[in-house]
Amino acid sequence: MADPPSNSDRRANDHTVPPGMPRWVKVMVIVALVVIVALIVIMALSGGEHGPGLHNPAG
Amino acid sequence: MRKLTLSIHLAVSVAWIGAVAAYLALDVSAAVSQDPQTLRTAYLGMDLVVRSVVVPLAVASLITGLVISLGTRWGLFRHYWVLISLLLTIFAIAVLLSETRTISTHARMATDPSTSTEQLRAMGTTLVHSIGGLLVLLIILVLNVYKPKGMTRYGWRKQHQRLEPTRKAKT
Repeated sequence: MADPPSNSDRRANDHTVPPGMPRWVKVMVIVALVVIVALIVIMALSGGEHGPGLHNPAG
Repeated sequence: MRKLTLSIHLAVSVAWIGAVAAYLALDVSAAVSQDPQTLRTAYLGMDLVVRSVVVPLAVASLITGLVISLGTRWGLFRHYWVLISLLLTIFAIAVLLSETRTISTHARMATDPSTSTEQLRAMGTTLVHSIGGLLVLLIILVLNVYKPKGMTRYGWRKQHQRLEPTRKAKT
């Protein structure tokens, strides 16, 4: 018995349904969110400073 | 004209990656060196490379990328790989322009004879940004080479509108 067509296959064959977001885009979005959250946590733990002042000894 | 624009886009985009790699070498030497002369030279070099090479190449890459996207079937918002490349490029340029201020401040302090060796050593680096920037540029490069499949809803609608008359004529 043949496997039933997946949602993506149905979408690809059906010209009236817009395509969903590809898996690689979803993975990239999740990775980007994880990196952003990690950076926010690191900045919060390091005192919340960011920008030129962080690198300067005077300020 | 299209091939000329594409050639310029490829040249400036790859050169952007190379310039960031050169900047990274100076950034690493500023991070690891304790020698005041090396630190002064590294900070001056970083400022020169960023302002004279990296920023112009980044802007040229964005402009030529926009021209190619709008002038070909790829469009700007039709395919996920183009859209993500655009967003990442804008993000990279925004961070770059913001970092340019820090780098110029470092260079000004490095050229100031009154800046002590301790102050030079305490200035720190922009390593996180330069490594992060290089990774973002490499992601954009891979996306542009592989062009992974995936059309946005907007792209699908546009394609649908274009193909609809042909489909109706066939039926």
